[in-house]
Amino acid sequence: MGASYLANEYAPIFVFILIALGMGAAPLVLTMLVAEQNPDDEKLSAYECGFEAFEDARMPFDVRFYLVAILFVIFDLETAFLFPWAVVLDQIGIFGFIEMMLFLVILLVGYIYAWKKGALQWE
Amino acid sequence: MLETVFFYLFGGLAVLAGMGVVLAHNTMHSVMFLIFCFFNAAGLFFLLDAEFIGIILILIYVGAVMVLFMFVIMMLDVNRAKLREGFLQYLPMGGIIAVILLVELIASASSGVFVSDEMVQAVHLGQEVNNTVEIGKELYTKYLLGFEVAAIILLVALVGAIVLTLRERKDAKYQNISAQVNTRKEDRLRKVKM
Amino acid sequence: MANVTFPFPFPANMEILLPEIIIAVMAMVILLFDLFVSKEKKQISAWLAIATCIAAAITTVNVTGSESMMTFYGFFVQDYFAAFTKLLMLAATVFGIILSLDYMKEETNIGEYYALMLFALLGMMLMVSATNFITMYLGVELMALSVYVLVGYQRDVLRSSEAALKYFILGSLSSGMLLYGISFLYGTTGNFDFNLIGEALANSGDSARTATLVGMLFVLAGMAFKVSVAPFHMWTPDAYEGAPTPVTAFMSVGPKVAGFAILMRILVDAMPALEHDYVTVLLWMAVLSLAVGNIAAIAQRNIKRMMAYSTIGHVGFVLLGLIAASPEGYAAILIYMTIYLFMTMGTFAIIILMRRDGIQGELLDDFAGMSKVRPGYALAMGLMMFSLAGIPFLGGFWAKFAVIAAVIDAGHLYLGLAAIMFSAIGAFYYIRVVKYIYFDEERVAFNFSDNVLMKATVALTSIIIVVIGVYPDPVMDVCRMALAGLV
Repeated sequence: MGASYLANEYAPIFVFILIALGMGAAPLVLTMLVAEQNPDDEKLSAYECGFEAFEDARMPFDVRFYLVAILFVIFDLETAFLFPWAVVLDQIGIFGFIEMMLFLVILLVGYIYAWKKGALQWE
Repeated sequence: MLETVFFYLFGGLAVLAGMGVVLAHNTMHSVMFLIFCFFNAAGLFFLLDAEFIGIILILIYVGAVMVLFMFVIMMLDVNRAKLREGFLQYLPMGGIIAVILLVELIASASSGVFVSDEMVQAVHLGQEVNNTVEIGKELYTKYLLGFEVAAIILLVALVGAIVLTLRERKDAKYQNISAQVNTRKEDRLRKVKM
Repeated sequence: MANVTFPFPFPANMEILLPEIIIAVMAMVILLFDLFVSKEKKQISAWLAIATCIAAAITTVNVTGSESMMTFYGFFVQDYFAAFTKLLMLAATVFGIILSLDYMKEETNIGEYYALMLFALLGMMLMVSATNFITMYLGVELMALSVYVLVGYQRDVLRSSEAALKYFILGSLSSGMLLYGISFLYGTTGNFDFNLIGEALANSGDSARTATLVGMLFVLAGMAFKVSVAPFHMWTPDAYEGAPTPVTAFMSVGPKVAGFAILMRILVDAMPALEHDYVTVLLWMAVLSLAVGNIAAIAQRNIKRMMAYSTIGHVGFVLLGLIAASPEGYAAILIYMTIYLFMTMGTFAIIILMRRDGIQGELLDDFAGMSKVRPGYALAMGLMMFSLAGIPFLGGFWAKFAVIAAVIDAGHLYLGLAAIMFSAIGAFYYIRVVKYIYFDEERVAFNFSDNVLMKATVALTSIIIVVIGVYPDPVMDVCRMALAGLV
């Protein structure tokens, strides 16, 4: 497609990225320049409802979050396969239709399995 | 010209981000660097006209896989001090392997095969060639077998994840609808002689 | 891009994929079946899986002709070579399922267990029928992913989870190496197809040499991980020890057969031009594997760990066949794999029978005095150990004889002598097991379960080992015939 195509089509996106970077950086830079800073130990310490912070704020997550995330990855990938299929369906015709249905049926088995096992249930 | 500038911009940032992944002290920061690295890799794909792959990289890797990474890291409660233990011990061996690998890669990249005349030179195609359509034409025709096997691999991944992590909780109460519907009056009602 | 025209034809010769289709469909049926039946009926999955394997074996024999046939636009090939290795893998799976019947009874998720075994089998079958790196890689991943899960199946047992994690991380690393190597070969030849890569390499100039060699090294390293060749064997002892014992049995045969079969295809079809280079690499790998496998096994007290090192040693022997790079060498590999299948399955069947009254029965001490309680099993175990050690006139002897003869024929006399030496060292730890069984006093009371199928497995494998040992010619002839598709 060439450099000129990229330059034309993606220039707005590039400008957006620059603006987003600027808007993210601006508050940080401005507070650093403008605000009066006078830190001491007490100000910088963690605040936990008025009493001393006694443990790490990072708590181990439940393994169920992982399960939800991996189910999401799998079905997300499945959708990724659907895009190129949809744009060429008129050319590959019934052949392409059958193969995609096969693909979806295989994943449907997985979906039924996950559902029946209760993997989609949070309790 | 513009292409070369952007190539070095994306490539350089990807390398820096990659170093950040390895060197960051906080695992969460490593994940963030990795996300940045994926964005730059996507940029490189865009420069190669492979727009579909670039977008998929952002959608799947940044949108889904990195979320999974974060959940796993938060699940593990990684102890950073412990991770760094033995770093020096493994450094010589790891360093030697890394140097050998680097020499190999430089040797093969500079051997001239990737710029020789025998190779088909990559050229930019006209704007009428749609990247996604071309992928679709190949993937759903010649690569039919691989495509269906990919579905089975996804299925195995799903089954594996459920088998290894899903635990039925004894304290949770479930509603068994079929049992409710199939209840007969004898199960619930008892006539008591007065 | 222009070579795809529409309307696109449906793939021809699709019937040769029938065994794989049967396995895929039945694996999914078992997966769903398990969800909808009551707890008592879940064991039926095992029988369904066995029936599937038998059906697949019959169709494999039926769809294979003397001509090699391709389908899916040249992505899948069925020939004698593929059919023979598929039958070996099907046998390994059936044995694996039989060994699991009692062992997995206490576990939850029975149906998934057998379904995953079938999926692993499907991956292996795709591997050996691959004509290019894409089909091969997908097969490798399908197999590996299923086996990772099977290794970690006892998720409440710490060592099982640990084994699965180690295996998974090193396995993904090796997959990465494999892909990287494939990308180099694609870069220098512009192809994924083994035969086309072979042609391109034969015609390529010197400029491609470095990059091609790097690609070849990465592919060899990636595959060496999968078949646990030293120095890529680190995961083997931990994974073997931590995995449920039937899975250990399954993974010490199935993936090894598949891995070596596809290595043969790659080396014969894609890399004849690099023969001198890959022989040099494989030579060092073979020596290392023989040394590591046979020497480190002596220090093991746990028989599953010992069998892991034993596998590494045996894999070293199999590499000799690849180093010979001749039809005799490749035939020797098939002979070795066939005999190794029965030796390993018999040994693991007895190891599983040793699990009793709350002990795992995996320590060498647990075998002490078995001959007085169960002379039959003791005799079978003795036969297996002697056969694994390569004592003459048992199956294992002919396996070793075939590869060593092939490698000496190919001009590697010193390698052959080294292999004989390591084999002699290895005999020590096999015969030590026999010493425990026959000459030590019973320490932990025996309590053998009397599952008929387990007994049958032990009996069948012992008989086969003895019969092949006495009269090896038919097996050797079949193996030579199976090479028809390859060379």
